[in-house]
Amino acid sequence: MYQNFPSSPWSTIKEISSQETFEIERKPQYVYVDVHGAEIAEIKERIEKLEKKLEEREGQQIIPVQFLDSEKLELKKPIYVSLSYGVEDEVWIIDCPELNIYGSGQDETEAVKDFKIILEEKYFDLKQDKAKLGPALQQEWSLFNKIVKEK
Amino acid sequence: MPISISDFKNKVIGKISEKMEIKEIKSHHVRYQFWHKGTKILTTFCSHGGKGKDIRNDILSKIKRELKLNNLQQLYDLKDCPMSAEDYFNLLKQKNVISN
Repeated sequence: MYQNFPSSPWSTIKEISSQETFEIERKPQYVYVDVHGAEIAEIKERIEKLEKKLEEREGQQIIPVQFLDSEKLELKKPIYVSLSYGVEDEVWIIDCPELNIYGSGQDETEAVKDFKIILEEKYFDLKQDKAKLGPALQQEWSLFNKIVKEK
Repeated sequence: MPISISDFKNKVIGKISEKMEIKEIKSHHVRYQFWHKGTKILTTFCSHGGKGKDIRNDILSKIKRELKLNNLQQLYDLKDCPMSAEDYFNLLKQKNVISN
C-alpha cells in the first residue's frame, strides 16, 4: 500500500489508526497528505519570474555615449548607459538611472537619438528652474553639471 | 499590463493634479512638471500618441522610477483608484521628494 504513494520529500504519509476507520480493518491505513503543494506552486512561479528577469539581463549591454548630436550641449566625458531590447514590447531602450532619463526606439539608433534629445530637454528643463528645484531634482541637476556643458 | 497614453494623462496625471500643480509641456515628447508650493519636485515624460495607444511595460517601469513609486503596482493603483492623490503625496513626503 505504502509504495503506491508518491515519494515526494515535500509530502507526508499519515497513518490512520484503526479507531479512525471504525475498526473495519485491523491493518493500518495510509492517506497521502499534500501539505506543500501550494508552496511548491509558489516557488515554481517565482523561479519562472526569475528566469524571465535573467533572460532580460542577458540581453542587456552597457555602452558608452561619447557625444551628443546637439548644437547647444556637449558631454564633458562619455557616459555609460544600458541598452536593452524588450522582446515582449519590441522596443529598444537606452537607460541612465543616475540621470533618471531613458530613450526608446524601434532600433538601437533610434533609441540612442531619442535618449540624446531627452537628455538635452531635461538639462534645459532643470536649468530653467534651477533655483526652484526640490531635493530629488537638485541632485539630478548636480549630476548633469558634472557630465554636460553648454557649447 | 500596459497603460494607454490617454489613461496615463487623464487618470494618473489627472489624479496627481488634485494634490499638486502639473505643467504640461509639449516638445519631442509630452513632459510633465510637478510643482508644489513654488518648487519643481518631479518631471516625467510620455511619448505623443494617438488615442488608445499603450505605454509599453518597459517604458512604464521607467515612468515608475521618475514618479518615485516603489513598484509598478503603485502605478496601476494610481490609475485605477486604490492609491489616492493624498497617498501619493504622502509617499513623496516619506521619500523627501517633497520637503516637510
